[in-house]
Amino acid sequence: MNKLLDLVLGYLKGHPYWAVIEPFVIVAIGWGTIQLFVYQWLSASTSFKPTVEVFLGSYLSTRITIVAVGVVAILLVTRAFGPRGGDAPGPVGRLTAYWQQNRSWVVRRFIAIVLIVAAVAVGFRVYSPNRVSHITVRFMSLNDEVTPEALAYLIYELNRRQRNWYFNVDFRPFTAEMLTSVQAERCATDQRPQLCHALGLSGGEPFIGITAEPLGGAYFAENRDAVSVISTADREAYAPLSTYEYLAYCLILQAIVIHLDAAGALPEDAFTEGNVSHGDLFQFVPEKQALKSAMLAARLSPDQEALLMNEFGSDYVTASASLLTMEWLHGGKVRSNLESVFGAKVGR
Amino acid sequence: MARYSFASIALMLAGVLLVTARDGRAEMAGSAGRASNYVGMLDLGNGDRCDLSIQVERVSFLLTTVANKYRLVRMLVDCRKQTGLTLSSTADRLEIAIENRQVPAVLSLQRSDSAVWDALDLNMRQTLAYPPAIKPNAPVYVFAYFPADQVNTMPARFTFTIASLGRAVTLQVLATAARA
Repeated sequence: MNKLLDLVLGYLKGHPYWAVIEPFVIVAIGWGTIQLFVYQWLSASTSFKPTVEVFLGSYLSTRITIVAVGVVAILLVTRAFGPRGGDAPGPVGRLTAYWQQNRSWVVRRFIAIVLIVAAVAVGFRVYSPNRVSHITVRFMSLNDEVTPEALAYLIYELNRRQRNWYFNVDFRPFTAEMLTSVQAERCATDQRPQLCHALGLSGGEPFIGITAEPLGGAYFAENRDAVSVISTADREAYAPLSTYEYLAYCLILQAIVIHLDAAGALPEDAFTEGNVSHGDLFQFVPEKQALKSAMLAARLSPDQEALLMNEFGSDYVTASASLLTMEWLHGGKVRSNLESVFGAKVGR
Repeated sequence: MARYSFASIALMLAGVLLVTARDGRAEMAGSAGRASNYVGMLDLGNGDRCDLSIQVERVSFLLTTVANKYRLVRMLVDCRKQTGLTLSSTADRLEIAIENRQVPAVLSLQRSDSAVWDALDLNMRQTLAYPPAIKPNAPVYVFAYFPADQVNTMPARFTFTIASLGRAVTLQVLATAARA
Protein backbone atom coordinates (compact mmCIF):
# COMPACT_ATOMS: atom_id res chain seq x y z
CA MET A 1 0.00 0.00 0.00
CA ASN A 2 2.78 2.38 1.00
CA LYS A 3 4.79 1.48 -2.10
CA LEU A 4 1.81 2.17 -4.33
CA LEU A 5 1.31 5.51 -2.61
CA ASP A 6 5.00 6.40 -3.03
CA LEU A 7 4.77 5.47 -6.72
CA VAL A 8 1.74 7.66 -7.32
CA LEU A 9 3.20 10.58 -5.38
CA GLY A 10 6.51 10.24 -7.22
CA TYR A 11 4.65 10.37 -10.52
CA LEU A 12 2.65 13.43 -9.51
CA LYS A 13 5.67 15.26 -8.13
CA GLY A 14 7.28 15.09 -11.57
CA HIS A 15 4.57 17.25 -13.09
CA PRO A 16 4.39 21.05 -13.05
CA TYR A 17 0.87 21.12 -11.53
CA TRP A 18 2.09 19.30 -8.40
CA ALA A 19 2.45 22.57 -6.50
CA VAL A 20 -1.22 23.33 -7.18
CA ILE A 21 -2.65 19.95 -6.21
CA GLU A 22 -0.26 19.13 -3.36
CA PRO A 23 -2.49 20.46 -0.52
CA PHE A 24 -5.49 18.58 -1.89
CA VAL A 25 -3.54 15.36 -2.18
CA ILE A 26 -2.43 15.77 1.43
CA VAL A 27 -6.05 16.27 2.50
CA ALA A 28 -7.14 13.19 0.53
CA ILE A 29 -4.41 11.05 2.09
CA GLY A 30 -5.36 12.42 5.53
CA TRP A 31 -9.03 11.61 4.87
CA GLY A 32 -8.23 8.02 3.92
CA THR A 33 -5.84 7.53 6.84
CA ILE A 34 -8.34 8.83 9.38
CA GLN A 35 -11.13 6.68 7.91
CA LEU A 36 -8.90 3.64 8.22
CA PHE A 37 -7.82 4.57 11.73
CA VAL A 38 -11.41 5.10 12.95
CA TYR A 39 -12.58 1.88 11.30
CA GLN A 40 -9.79 -0.05 13.03
CA TRP A 41 -10.50 1.70 16.34
CA LEU A 42 -14.21 0.88 16.12
CA SER A 43 -13.53 -2.77 15.34
CA ALA A 44 -10.95 -3.06 18.11
CA SER A 45 -12.73 -1.14 20.87
CA THR A 46 -16.13 -2.87 20.70
CA SER A 47 -17.49 -6.29 19.85
CA PHE A 48 -19.32 -4.67 16.94
CA LYS A 49 -17.42 -5.40 13.69
CA PRO A 50 -19.05 -3.33 10.96
CA THR A 51 -18.51 -4.24 7.34
CA VAL A 52 -16.66 -1.65 5.25
CA GLU A 53 -19.95 -0.73 3.55
CA VAL A 54 -21.70 -0.21 6.89
CA PHE A 55 -18.80 1.88 8.15
CA LEU A 56 -18.59 4.03 5.02
CA GLY A 57 -22.31 4.74 5.32
CA SER A 58 -22.04 5.58 9.01
CA TYR A 59 -22.12 8.95 10.70
CA LEU A 60 -18.46 8.50 11.71
CA SER A 61 -17.26 8.18 8.12
CA THR A 62 -19.58 10.96 6.99
CA ARG A 63 -18.21 13.29 9.65
CA ILE A 64 -14.63 12.62 8.55
CA THR A 65 -15.68 13.40 4.97
CA ILE A 66 -17.40 16.60 6.07
CA VAL A 67 -14.22 17.81 7.79
CA ALA A 68 -12.12 16.91 4.75
CA VAL A 69 -14.50 18.77 2.44
CA GLY A 70 -14.38 21.73 4.82
CA VAL A 71 -10.57 21.80 4.72
CA VAL A 72 -10.61 21.58 0.92
CA ALA A 73 -13.17 24.41 0.81
CA ILE A 74 -10.96 26.59 3.01
CA LEU A 75 -7.98 25.90 0.76
CA LEU A 76 -9.99 26.84 -2.33
CA VAL A 77 -11.50 29.94 -0.77
CA THR A 78 -8.22 31.31 0.49
CA ARG A 79 -6.76 30.88 -2.99
CA ALA A 80 -9.72 32.47 -4.75
CA PHE A 81 -9.65 35.46 -2.44
CA GLY A 82 -5.86 35.59 -2.27
CA PRO A 83 -4.02 38.95 -2.45
CA ARG A 84 -2.97 40.24 -5.82
CA GLY A 85 0.74 40.36 -6.62
CA GLY A 86 1.01 44.09 -5.95
CA ASP A 87 -0.75 43.75 -2.60
CA ALA A 88 1.73 41.41 -1.01
CA PRO A 89 1.56 41.56 2.76
CA GLY A 90 4.17 43.51 4.56
CA PRO A 91 6.66 42.03 7.03
CA VAL A 92 5.29 40.41 10.10
CA GLY A 93 5.13 42.82 13.03
CA ARG A 94 3.96 45.78 11.03
CA LEU A 95 0.35 44.96 11.63
CA THR A 96 -1.12 48.35 10.85
CA ALA A 97 0.52 48.56 7.46
CA TYR A 98 -0.42 44.97 6.71
CA TRP A 99 -4.05 45.59 7.70
CA GLN A 100 -4.30 48.73 5.56
CA GLN A 101 -2.85 46.98 2.53
CA ASN A 102 -4.91 43.74 2.79
CA ARG A 103 -8.03 44.73 4.68
CA SER A 104 -10.43 43.57 2.00
CA TRP A 105 -8.58 40.27 1.49
CA VAL A 106 -8.42 39.48 5.23
CA VAL A 107 -12.10 40.29 5.79
CA ARG A 108 -13.28 38.20 2.85
CA ARG A 109 -11.12 35.27 3.88
CA PHE A 110 -12.29 35.53 7.47
CA ILE A 111 -15.97 35.56 6.44
CA ALA A 112 -15.48 32.62 4.10
CA ILE A 113 -13.71 30.58 6.79
CA VAL A 114 -16.44 31.36 9.33
CA LEU A 115 -19.11 30.21 6.85
CA ILE A 116 -17.26 26.99 6.10
CA VAL A 117 -16.72 26.23 9.78
CA ALA A 118 -20.42 26.88 10.40
CA ALA A 119 -21.35 24.54 7.55
CA VAL A 120 -19.07 21.84 8.98
CA ALA A 121 -20.69 22.32 12.40
CA VAL A 122 -24.15 21.96 10.87
CA GLY A 123 -22.99 18.82 9.06
CA PHE A 124 -21.72 17.40 12.36
CA ARG A 125 -25.04 18.19 13.99
CA VAL A 126 -27.07 16.59 11.20
CA TYR A 127 -24.93 13.45 11.28
CA SER A 128 -24.97 13.03 15.06
CA PRO A 129 -26.50 9.97 16.72
CA ASN A 130 -29.76 10.64 18.57
CA ARG A 131 -29.96 10.36 22.32
CA VAL A 132 -32.18 7.51 23.40
CA SER A 133 -34.73 7.75 26.17
CA HIS A 134 -35.20 5.62 29.23
CA ILE A 135 -38.22 3.33 29.13
CA THR A 136 -40.60 2.52 31.98
CA VAL A 137 -41.60 -1.13 32.31
CA ARG A 138 -44.83 -1.90 34.11
CA PHE A 139 -45.98 -5.35 35.21
CA MET A 140 -49.65 -4.95 34.35
CA SER A 141 -50.31 -8.62 35.11
CA LEU A 142 -47.94 -11.58 35.21
CA ASN A 143 -48.56 -15.26 34.57
CA ASP A 144 -47.79 -17.77 37.30
CA GLU A 145 -44.42 -18.66 35.76
CA VAL A 146 -43.02 -15.21 36.47
CA THR A 147 -42.50 -13.25 39.67
CA PRO A 148 -42.04 -9.47 39.75
CA GLU A 149 -38.76 -9.66 41.65
CA ALA A 150 -37.19 -12.17 39.23
CA LEU A 151 -38.35 -10.19 36.23
CA ALA A 152 -37.01 -7.00 37.81
CA TYR A 153 -33.64 -8.73 38.27
CA LEU A 154 -33.66 -9.76 34.60
CA ILE A 155 -34.35 -6.16 33.59
CA TYR A 156 -31.62 -4.80 35.87
CA GLU A 157 -29.21 -7.21 34.20
CA LEU A 158 -30.29 -5.80 30.83
CA ASN A 159 -29.57 -2.33 32.19
CA ARG A 160 -26.14 -3.40 33.40
CA ARG A 161 -25.13 -4.29 29.86
CA GLN A 162 -25.71 -0.89 28.34
CA ARG A 163 -24.52 2.57 29.21
CA ASN A 164 -26.64 5.10 27.40
CA TRP A 165 -30.15 4.32 28.63
CA TYR A 166 -32.03 1.99 30.94
CA PHE A 167 -35.39 0.45 31.82
CA ASN A 168 -37.21 1.83 34.86
CA VAL A 169 -39.36 -0.76 36.60
CA ASP A 170 -42.65 0.46 38.04
CA PHE A 171 -43.80 -2.13 40.57
CA ARG A 172 -47.24 -0.68 41.25
CA PRO A 173 -49.96 -3.24 40.47
CA PHE A 174 -52.13 -2.14 37.61
CA THR A 175 -55.86 -1.65 37.79
CA ALA A 176 -58.09 0.03 35.25
CA GLU A 177 -59.23 2.26 38.14
CA MET A 178 -56.03 4.25 37.57
CA LEU A 179 -57.23 5.51 34.21
CA THR A 180 -59.44 8.52 33.73
CA SER A 181 -63.11 7.75 33.23
CA VAL A 182 -62.78 8.61 29.55
CA GLN A 183 -59.82 6.28 29.08
CA ALA A 184 -61.51 3.48 31.02
CA GLU A 185 -64.63 3.80 28.90
CA ARG A 186 -62.64 3.79 25.67
CA CYS A 187 -60.49 0.81 26.70
CA ALA A 188 -63.56 -1.21 27.72
CA THR A 189 -64.69 -1.24 24.10
CA ASP A 190 -61.28 -1.10 22.41
CA GLN A 191 -60.29 -4.07 20.26
CA ARG A 192 -56.80 -3.75 21.72
CA PRO A 193 -57.60 -3.19 25.41
CA GLN A 194 -54.10 -3.91 26.75
CA LEU A 195 -52.45 -1.43 24.42
CA CYS A 196 -55.18 1.05 25.33
CA HIS A 197 -54.40 0.57 29.05
CA ALA A 198 -50.67 0.93 28.38
CA LEU A 199 -51.23 4.16 26.47
CA GLY A 200 -53.29 5.48 29.40
CA LEU A 201 -50.60 4.54 31.91
CA SER A 202 -47.70 5.87 29.89
CA GLY A 203 -48.50 9.54 30.29
CA GLY A 204 -46.97 10.06 26.85
CA GLU A 205 -43.55 8.77 27.96
CA PRO A 206 -41.74 5.69 26.59
CA PHE A 207 -43.46 2.72 28.19
CA ILE A 208 -43.61 -1.07 27.92
CA GLY A 209 -46.42 -2.92 29.66
CA ILE A 210 -46.19 -6.64 30.37
CA THR A 211 -49.47 -8.49 30.64
CA ALA A 212 -50.70 -12.06 30.91
CA GLU A 213 -53.89 -11.10 29.10
CA PRO A 214 -54.39 -11.58 25.33
CA LEU A 215 -53.74 -8.46 23.31
CA GLY A 216 -56.73 -8.67 21.02
CA GLY A 217 -55.01 -7.44 17.88
CA ALA A 218 -51.71 -9.35 18.03
CA TYR A 219 -50.21 -12.48 19.53
CA PHE A 220 -47.06 -11.37 21.29
CA ALA A 221 -46.51 -7.64 21.32
CA GLU A 222 -47.79 -4.49 19.73
CA ASN A 223 -46.56 -0.94 19.59
CA ARG A 224 -47.99 2.49 19.05
CA ASP A 225 -45.63 5.48 19.14
CA ALA A 226 -43.61 5.33 22.37
CA VAL A 227 -45.75 2.62 23.94
CA SER A 228 -45.54 -1.15 23.59
CA VAL A 229 -47.31 -3.96 25.33
CA ILE A 230 -46.03 -7.55 25.57
CA SER A 231 -48.38 -10.44 26.28
CA THR A 232 -47.47 -13.82 27.74
CA ALA A 233 -50.93 -15.22 26.98
CA ASP A 234 -49.63 -17.39 24.11
CA ARG A 235 -47.20 -19.29 26.27
CA GLU A 236 -47.70 -22.49 24.26
CA ALA A 237 -46.40 -20.73 21.15
CA TYR A 238 -42.98 -19.96 22.62
CA ALA A 239 -42.68 -23.06 24.86
CA PRO A 240 -40.40 -24.80 25.68
CA LEU A 241 -38.56 -21.48 25.89
CA SER A 242 -39.22 -19.94 29.28
CA THR A 243 -41.29 -16.83 29.81
CA TYR A 244 -38.14 -15.07 31.07
CA GLU A 245 -36.33 -15.72 27.77
CA TYR A 246 -39.39 -14.65 25.84
CA LEU A 247 -39.81 -11.45 27.84
CA ALA A 248 -36.11 -10.60 27.62
CA TYR A 249 -36.24 -10.94 23.83
CA CYS A 250 -39.46 -8.94 23.51
CA LEU A 251 -38.19 -6.19 25.83
CA ILE A 252 -35.00 -5.74 23.79
CA LEU A 253 -36.94 -5.74 20.52
CA GLN A 254 -39.64 -3.35 21.73
CA ALA A 255 -37.03 -0.99 23.20
CA ILE A 256 -35.33 -0.80 19.80
CA VAL A 257 -38.70 -0.21 18.13
CA ILE A 258 -39.60 2.58 20.58
CA HIS A 259 -36.23 4.28 20.13
CA LEU A 260 -36.40 4.06 16.33
CA ASP A 261 -39.97 5.31 16.33
CA ALA A 262 -38.98 8.30 18.49
CA ALA A 263 -36.21 9.12 15.99
CA GLY A 264 -38.65 8.75 13.08
CA ALA A 265 -36.43 5.98 11.72
CA LEU A 266 -38.53 2.84 12.15
CA PRO A 267 -38.57 1.19 8.70
CA GLU A 268 -41.92 1.67 7.02
CA ASP A 269 -42.25 -2.03 6.31
CA ALA A 270 -41.53 -3.04 9.92
CA PHE A 271 -43.88 -5.85 11.03
CA THR A 272 -45.89 -5.62 7.83
CA GLU A 273 -47.96 -8.78 7.44
CA GLY A 274 -46.54 -11.30 5.01
CA ASN A 275 -46.28 -15.02 4.37
CA VAL A 276 -42.51 -15.29 4.10
CA SER A 277 -39.83 -14.48 6.61
CA HIS A 278 -36.06 -14.77 6.88
CA GLY A 279 -35.95 -14.18 10.61
CA ASP A 280 -35.34 -10.45 10.43
CA LEU A 281 -35.77 -8.57 13.69
CA PHE A 282 -38.52 -6.29 12.34
CA GLN A 283 -40.32 -8.93 10.32
CA PHE A 284 -43.84 -10.12 10.92
CA VAL A 285 -43.87 -13.73 12.15
CA PRO A 286 -46.26 -15.44 9.72
CA GLU A 287 -46.68 -18.54 11.88
CA LYS A 288 -46.86 -17.86 15.59
CA GLN A 289 -44.98 -21.04 16.45
CA ALA A 290 -42.08 -19.59 14.44
CA LEU A 291 -41.46 -16.91 17.05
CA LYS A 292 -39.20 -19.44 18.74
CA SER A 293 -37.15 -19.65 15.56
CA ALA A 294 -36.79 -15.89 15.36
CA MET A 295 -35.82 -15.69 19.05
CA LEU A 296 -33.20 -18.43 18.89
CA ALA A 297 -31.57 -16.97 15.76
CA ALA A 298 -32.03 -13.31 16.69
CA ARG A 299 -29.53 -11.02 15.04
CA LEU A 300 -29.06 -7.60 13.52
CA SER A 301 -28.77 -7.61 9.75
CA PRO A 302 -26.11 -5.33 8.17
CA ASP A 303 -28.87 -2.89 7.21
CA GLN A 304 -30.16 -2.82 10.78
CA GLU A 305 -26.62 -2.39 12.10
CA ALA A 306 -26.18 0.58 9.79
CA LEU A 307 -29.54 2.00 10.79
CA LEU A 308 -28.94 1.69 14.53
CA MET A 309 -25.37 2.93 14.27
CA ASN A 310 -26.37 6.05 12.40
CA GLU A 311 -29.34 6.74 14.66
CA PHE A 312 -27.91 5.91 18.07
CA GLY A 313 -24.16 5.33 17.76
CA SER A 314 -21.86 2.34 17.87
CA ASP A 315 -22.38 1.63 21.60
CA TYR A 316 -26.07 1.08 20.97
CA VAL A 317 -25.41 -1.38 18.13
CA THR A 318 -22.87 -3.26 20.20
CA ALA A 319 -25.24 -3.53 23.19
CA SER A 320 -28.25 -4.51 21.07
CA ALA A 321 -26.38 -7.15 19.09
CA SER A 322 -24.96 -8.61 22.28
CA LEU A 323 -28.27 -8.63 24.14
CA LEU A 324 -30.14 -10.27 21.26
CA THR A 325 -27.88 -13.31 21.34
CA MET A 326 -29.22 -14.09 24.85
CA GLU A 327 -25.83 -15.51 25.77
CA TRP A 328 -25.78 -13.15 28.73
CA LEU A 329 -28.95 -14.87 30.01
CA HIS A 330 -28.04 -18.48 29.41
CA GLY A 331 -24.50 -18.52 30.60
CA GLY A 332 -23.01 -17.88 33.98
CA LYS A 333 -24.28 -15.74 36.77
CA VAL A 334 -27.64 -14.50 35.47
CA ARG A 335 -29.17 -17.90 34.89
CA SER A 336 -27.67 -19.20 38.11
CA ASN A 337 -29.11 -16.27 40.09
CA LEU A 338 -32.52 -16.60 38.48
CA GLU A 339 -32.69 -20.29 39.30
CA SER A 340 -31.09 -20.36 42.73
CA VAL A 341 -32.26 -17.05 44.20
CA PHE A 342 -35.65 -16.60 42.56
CA GLY A 343 -36.56 -20.21 41.80
CA ALA A 344 -37.11 -19.26 38.16
CA LYS A 345 -36.75 -21.81 35.40
CA VAL A 346 -34.74 -20.46 32.48
CA GLY A 347 -33.19 -23.52 30.89
CA ARG A 348 -34.87 -26.19 28.79
CA MET B 1 -34.95 -2.74 107.89
CA ALA B 2 -33.36 -0.17 105.68
CA ARG B 3 -34.78 3.29 105.71
CA TYR B 4 -35.16 5.29 102.54
CA SER B 5 -35.09 9.07 102.33
CA PHE B 6 -37.85 10.98 100.56
CA ALA B 7 -35.39 11.98 97.84
CA SER B 8 -34.41 8.39 97.02
CA ILE B 9 -38.06 7.27 96.91
CA ALA B 10 -38.90 10.17 94.59
CA LEU B 11 -35.97 9.26 92.37
CA MET B 12 -37.09 5.63 92.13
CA LEU B 13 -40.64 6.70 91.37
CA ALA B 14 -39.43 9.02 88.60
CA GLY B 15 -37.36 6.14 87.17
CA VAL B 16 -40.38 3.83 87.13
CA LEU B 17 -42.45 6.51 85.40
CA LEU B 18 -39.76 7.07 82.79
CA VAL B 19 -39.46 3.34 82.04
CA THR B 20 -43.22 2.90 81.65
CA ALA B 21 -43.43 6.01 79.48
CA ARG B 22 -40.97 4.64 76.88
CA ASP B 23 -43.67 3.23 74.61
CA GLY B 24 -45.41 6.59 74.47
CA ARG B 25 -48.74 5.29 75.64
CA ALA B 26 -48.53 5.81 79.36
CA GLU B 27 -48.60 9.59 79.44
CA MET B 28 -51.52 11.05 81.35
CA ALA B 29 -52.04 13.95 79.02
CA GLY B 30 -50.83 15.46 75.76
CA SER B 31 -52.89 13.45 73.31
CA ALA B 32 -55.07 16.36 72.19
CA GLY B 33 -53.35 16.79 68.84
CA ARG B 34 -52.57 13.16 68.25
CA ALA B 35 -54.20 11.10 65.53
CA SER B 36 -56.67 8.46 66.61
CA ASN B 37 -55.67 5.01 65.48
CA TYR B 38 -58.56 2.78 64.40
CA VAL B 39 -57.42 -0.81 64.13
CA GLY B 40 -58.99 -4.10 63.20
CA MET B 41 -57.84 -7.61 62.48
CA LEU B 42 -59.05 -10.11 59.96
CA ASP B 43 -58.35 -13.71 60.92
CA LEU B 44 -57.85 -15.78 57.76
CA GLY B 45 -57.34 -19.05 59.59
CA ASN B 46 -54.27 -21.23 59.98
CA GLY B 47 -52.49 -18.39 61.73
CA ASP B 48 -52.87 -16.06 58.73
CA ARG B 49 -54.20 -12.61 59.40
CA CYS B 50 -54.55 -9.17 57.91
CA ASP B 51 -54.11 -6.09 60.11
CA LEU B 52 -56.07 -3.00 59.13
CA SER B 53 -55.53 0.46 60.51
CA ILE B 54 -56.75 3.99 59.85
CA GLN B 55 -55.22 7.06 61.44
CA VAL B 56 -57.51 10.06 61.78
CA GLU B 57 -56.12 13.36 62.99
CA ARG B 58 -59.11 15.41 64.10
CA VAL B 59 -58.06 18.85 62.84
CA SER B 60 -56.89 17.86 59.38
CA PHE B 61 -59.76 15.37 58.99
CA LEU B 62 -62.45 17.95 59.76
CA LEU B 63 -60.81 20.93 58.06
CA THR B 64 -59.62 19.46 54.79
CA THR B 65 -61.59 18.00 51.91
CA VAL B 66 -61.01 16.71 48.39
CA ALA B 67 -62.58 19.13 45.91
CA ASN B 68 -64.74 20.49 48.75
CA LYS B 69 -66.78 17.29 48.57
CA TYR B 70 -64.99 14.41 50.23
CA ARG B 71 -63.11 13.63 53.41
CA LEU B 72 -60.17 11.40 52.61
CA VAL B 73 -59.35 8.37 54.71
CA ARG B 74 -56.29 6.19 54.26
CA MET B 75 -56.45 2.59 55.45
CA LEU B 76 -53.31 0.44 55.77
CA VAL B 77 -53.90 -3.22 54.98
CA ASP B 78 -51.08 -5.55 55.96
CA CYS B 79 -51.55 -9.25 55.32
CA ARG B 80 -49.01 -11.66 56.78
CA LYS B 81 -47.72 -15.08 55.88
CA GLN B 82 -49.34 -16.76 52.89
CA THR B 83 -52.75 -15.33 52.21
CA GLY B 84 -53.59 -12.06 50.55
CA LEU B 85 -56.92 -10.47 49.80
CA THR B 86 -58.87 -9.98 46.62
CA LEU B 87 -60.58 -6.62 46.57
CA SER B 88 -63.25 -5.02 44.44
CA SER B 89 -64.20 -1.38 44.40
CA THR B 90 -67.68 -2.29 43.23
CA ALA B 91 -68.44 -5.01 45.77
CA ASP B 92 -66.43 -4.00 48.87
CA ARG B 93 -67.72 -1.42 51.35
CA LEU B 94 -66.11 0.88 53.87
CA GLU B 95 -68.50 2.58 56.25
CA ILE B 96 -67.96 5.14 58.94
CA ALA B 97 -70.09 5.18 62.11
CA ILE B 98 -70.99 8.69 63.24
CA GLU B 99 -73.63 9.53 65.81
CA ASN B 100 -75.49 6.27 65.25
CA ARG B 101 -75.38 6.73 61.48
CA GLN B 102 -73.50 4.62 58.96
CA VAL B 103 -72.02 6.62 56.09
CA PRO B 104 -70.62 4.59 53.17
CA ALA B 105 -67.41 5.63 51.46
CA VAL B 106 -66.87 6.08 47.76
CA LEU B 107 -64.17 3.59 46.77
CA SER B 108 -63.98 4.49 43.09
CA LEU B 109 -64.06 8.16 42.20
CA GLN B 110 -63.52 7.11 38.58
CA ARG B 111 -67.09 5.77 38.50
CA SER B 112 -68.75 7.93 41.14
CA ASP B 113 -67.32 11.36 40.40
CA SER B 114 -65.39 11.30 37.14
CA ALA B 115 -64.99 15.08 37.03
CA VAL B 116 -62.97 15.07 40.26
CA TRP B 117 -61.08 11.90 39.32
CA ASP B 118 -60.18 12.99 35.80
CA ALA B 119 -58.80 16.28 37.12
CA LEU B 120 -56.09 14.39 39.06
CA ASP B 121 -52.77 13.75 37.37
CA LEU B 122 -51.66 10.25 36.38
CA ASN B 123 -49.33 9.78 39.33
CA MET B 124 -52.00 10.81 41.83
CA ARG B 125 -54.58 8.55 40.21
CA GLN B 126 -52.16 5.62 40.41
CA THR B 127 -51.63 6.30 44.11
CA LEU B 128 -55.30 6.72 44.96
CA ALA B 129 -56.84 3.95 42.86
CA TYR B 130 -58.52 1.14 44.79
CA PRO B 131 -56.16 -1.87 44.61
CA PRO B 132 -57.36 -5.09 42.99
CA ALA B 133 -55.58 -7.25 45.55
CA ILE B 134 -53.41 -7.21 48.64
CA LYS B 135 -50.44 -9.51 48.40
CA PRO B 136 -49.03 -11.16 51.52
CA ASN B 137 -46.21 -9.24 53.22
CA ALA B 138 -46.76 -6.22 50.99
CA PRO B 139 -48.66 -3.59 52.99
CA VAL B 140 -50.89 -1.39 50.83
CA TYR B 141 -52.75 1.83 51.51
CA VAL B 142 -56.39 1.89 50.47
CA PHE B 143 -57.95 5.33 49.99
CA ALA B 144 -61.64 6.04 50.54
CA TYR B 145 -63.73 9.19 50.20
CA PHE B 146 -66.58 10.11 52.55
CA PRO B 147 -69.13 12.79 51.64
CA ALA B 148 -67.97 15.86 53.56
CA ASP B 149 -71.51 17.11 54.18
CA GLN B 150 -72.37 13.89 56.03
CA VAL B 151 -69.15 13.51 57.98
CA ASN B 152 -68.54 16.51 60.21
CA THR B 153 -67.33 14.95 63.41
CA MET B 154 -64.85 12.30 64.48
CA PRO B 155 -65.87 8.75 63.58
CA ALA B 156 -66.79 6.24 66.26
CA ARG B 157 -65.55 3.32 64.17
CA PHE B 158 -65.14 2.03 60.62
CA THR B 159 -66.53 -1.15 59.13
CA PHE B 160 -64.77 -2.69 56.13
CA THR B 161 -66.64 -5.38 54.21
CA ILE B 162 -64.65 -7.58 51.84
CA ALA B 163 -66.95 -9.15 49.28
CA SER B 164 -64.53 -11.89 48.21
CA LEU B 165 -64.49 -13.21 51.79
CA GLY B 166 -68.08 -12.36 52.60
CA ARG B 167 -66.87 -10.89 55.88
CA ALA B 168 -66.69 -7.54 57.62
CA VAL B 169 -64.10 -6.21 60.03
CA THR B 170 -64.61 -3.35 62.48
CA LEU B 171 -61.85 -0.84 63.08
CA GLN B 172 -61.99 0.87 66.46
CA VAL B 173 -59.71 3.16 68.40
CA LEU B 174 -57.19 1.13 70.34
CA ALA B 175 -57.44 1.28 74.13
CA THR B 176 -59.67 4.32 74.17
CA ALA B 177 -60.41 3.89 77.84
CA ALA B 178 -56.74 3.96 78.77
CA ARG B 179 -56.33 7.42 77.39
CA ALA B 180 -56.83 10.42 79.51
